[in-house]
Amino acid sequence: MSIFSAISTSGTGLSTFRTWIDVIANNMANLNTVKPTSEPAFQAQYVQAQDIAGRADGIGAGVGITALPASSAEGRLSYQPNNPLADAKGYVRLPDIDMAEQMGNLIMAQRAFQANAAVVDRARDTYLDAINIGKNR
Amino acid sequence: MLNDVASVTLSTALSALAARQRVSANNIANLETPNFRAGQVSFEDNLRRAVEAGEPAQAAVTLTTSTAPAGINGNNVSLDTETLIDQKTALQYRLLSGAMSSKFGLIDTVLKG
Amino acid sequence: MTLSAIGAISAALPSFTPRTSDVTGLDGPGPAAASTSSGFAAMLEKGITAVESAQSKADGLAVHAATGDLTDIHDYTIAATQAALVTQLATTIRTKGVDAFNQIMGMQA
Repeated sequence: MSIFSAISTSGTGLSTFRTWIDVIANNMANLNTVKPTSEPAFQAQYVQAQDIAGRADGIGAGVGITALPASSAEGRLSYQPNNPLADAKGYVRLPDIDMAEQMGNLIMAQRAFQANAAVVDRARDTYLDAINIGKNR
Repeated sequence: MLNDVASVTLSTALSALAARQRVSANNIANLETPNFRAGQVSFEDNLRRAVEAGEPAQAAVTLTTSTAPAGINGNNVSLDTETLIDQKTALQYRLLSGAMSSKFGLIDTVLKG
Repeated sequence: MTLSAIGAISAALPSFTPRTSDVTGLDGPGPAAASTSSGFAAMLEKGITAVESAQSKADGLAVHAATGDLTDIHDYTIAATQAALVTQLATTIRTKGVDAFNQIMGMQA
């Protein structure tokens, strides 16, 4: 636990939620990534986060990403006989990504990022107040 | 005058913090430069050891390259991390320069009565 | 909330005040004047000790701030303010003491 620990702690939140937004962006970008049925579908990624312990006074030190688990490789089969990647029966493999779920996650990630940014601002003001103790004599 | 451990430690730390600000500014300036790797300034551990040894002026300020994973363009500058480093460095600089002023203030008080 | 360092000085003040009244009230037997000077010296010494301890506490916390180990910023800023105030108080008492001495010297001349 070091100086300005509140800012560092919020910083772990900012990094985590920024990564979550990056992951969602990648999932959304691959919403229509077509693969032949012989290959696994594009797998949507999720963010697995865990709290960071490590302060002597028992207060947690923030959050960190532990893994980026992938969704099923099976995806969903789509009948697109004109697609150059289609197999003999005319099927291609599309990723099984729920856009509504991704959008919901995106809003959560964005709001969480904003909340952490607000904590940084407030913490900064608080530290400035502490620094200015005794200055206005 | 003012060559006690606390004053020397403060001035060493202020120089190191100024260096950290410059490096952070350079990192942010190169936010989109392909294959640019972020620089990091560390001095706290060295300074702590130097203070324990009674030679705070000897504390080394080291510049290392960040090993954070790089993006598509080989650049590993993280804007949120850099912004926070910038904010924390500015706060600490303010705190330490205030500490320096208050040490000067004590001498001023004694001299002027 | 108590300012312990200032308390250390002000604790000495009441023992000083009655003795000054002793001095102004008496037509100056030697022993009384002697005890006054030793009282003022003791008080000044006590004050200087308080100043030193306040300043070294603030210095220690400033070093912690420099090495990034200071958890509570206000611990340092409060200690620094205390050190500044105690120093001002001690300087004021010194000045007043010297003034008083000069006045007494002037009376003899």
